[in-house]
Amino acid sequence: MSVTRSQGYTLPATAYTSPEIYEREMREVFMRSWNFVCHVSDVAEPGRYWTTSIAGEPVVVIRDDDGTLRALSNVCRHRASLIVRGEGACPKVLRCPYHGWTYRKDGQLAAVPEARGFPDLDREAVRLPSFRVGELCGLVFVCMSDETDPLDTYFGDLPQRLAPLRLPELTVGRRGNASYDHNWKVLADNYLEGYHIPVGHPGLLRLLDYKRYIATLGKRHAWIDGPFRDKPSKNRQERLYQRLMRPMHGFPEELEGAWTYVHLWPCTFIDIYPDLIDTWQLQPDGLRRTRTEYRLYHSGSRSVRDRLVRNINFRVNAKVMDEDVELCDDVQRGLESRTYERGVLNDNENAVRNFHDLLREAVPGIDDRAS
Amino acid sequence: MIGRHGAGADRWLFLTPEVEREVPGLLDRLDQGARAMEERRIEELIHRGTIASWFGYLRDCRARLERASGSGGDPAAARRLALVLREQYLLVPSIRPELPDDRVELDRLEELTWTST
Repeated sequence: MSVTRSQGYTLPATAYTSPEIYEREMREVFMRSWNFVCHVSDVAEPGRYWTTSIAGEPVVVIRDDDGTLRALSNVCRHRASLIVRGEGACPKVLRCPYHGWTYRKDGQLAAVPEARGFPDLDREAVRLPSFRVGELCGLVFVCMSDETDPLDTYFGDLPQRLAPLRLPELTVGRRGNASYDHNWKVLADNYLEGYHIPVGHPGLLRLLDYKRYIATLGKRHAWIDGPFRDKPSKNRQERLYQRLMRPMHGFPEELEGAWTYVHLWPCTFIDIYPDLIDTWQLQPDGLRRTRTEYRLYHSGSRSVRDRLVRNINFRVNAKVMDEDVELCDDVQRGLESRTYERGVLNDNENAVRNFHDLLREAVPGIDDRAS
Repeated sequence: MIGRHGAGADRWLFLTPEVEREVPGLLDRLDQGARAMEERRIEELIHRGTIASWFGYLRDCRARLERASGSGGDPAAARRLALVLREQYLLVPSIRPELPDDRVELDRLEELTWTST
């Protein structure tokens, strides 16, 4: 297959199927990037914590008593048990559920049951490893490397684009998670291009003006505009959405006429709908398994109309997700074929090309296995 | 769940992007239709049309292309229009059986691709 320079090739199939590449991605992509963890309201008060996994590393984000946000390893230094699970609040200290080792919110070991049994233990020297943590437009991010750019410049001008959404003030609504038998990049690739919409999501084609569906590339992010069509859809559910939808109070006027999709390197996605916003986070959970977590944010309006619109939006997009999962199932299987080496990208797949270029930069040699 | 086998009556919509993007401008260049009006017609078909009405529109475009070719319209635009329309007949067998008219249209568009130079 030959392509022009303006098009470009995808990563080779081996980038999706090689255990060695996967391990390098964990070290060279995930441990060196800023990873989305939660909404700022999830850790608003002292003692509130939120757990996550970055490159397979258990991490807890916690608000210290003085208001400082901290990210700590969630692994007890004694016998490696996870210290806390899920989310919650701890009154004073973090306590390991296995033997009761207890840590202060800054990670310092505070107390050890039956301490006399550890005559050589230097309590002052034991602390949970800590990581960089920061807040960007109401979203909390963690980075495990000290060499990575600061969060406020990491995504270029993205903070300026997200700020008008007033994410910190929004109410956290419905949330959920799911796991898929796909390499994480299969899901990311699929999100990043609209070329499959006419075939894979004919319903979406009636709602969005495909010819104006355009991805703009920024520093470690892609901003995808999906403007609405003016005409009412033939589909009853979509028509109802078009008729009843009204933007959230304070929603930026320039985004009112579109569904906007944002990708943050490496695998955080923000869907910006005028009536609600959601985050969708991928957590690689093995070479061909990815855990995903979505959260919805909205104005908090309890009016029947706004709740109905949010419900319709959720159902329309749940259908799109079902369609995408089926498409990704097929891609995952195809990538494991011995006859497929790599593919070619067209202009509508520019955000995929950019994503693959970022991977090439982060994981040198990821392209080498292509013949 | 709607997937590759189940999109049913909507599946033909995958044909529309290239036509929507290019045909209004090409017809305008050939003096065979005002761009804005063609855009509205196509959008109406996307919203309310069927695969039959879509191919009715494509046949109408082919007829206008014939007229433009006969009167010496912009050859580059005519050739591009013939190619875009021709692609539709090459794509459609993936979602419905070939109809007798399809072959006739395809052959004629093939000829127009070569004569519109």
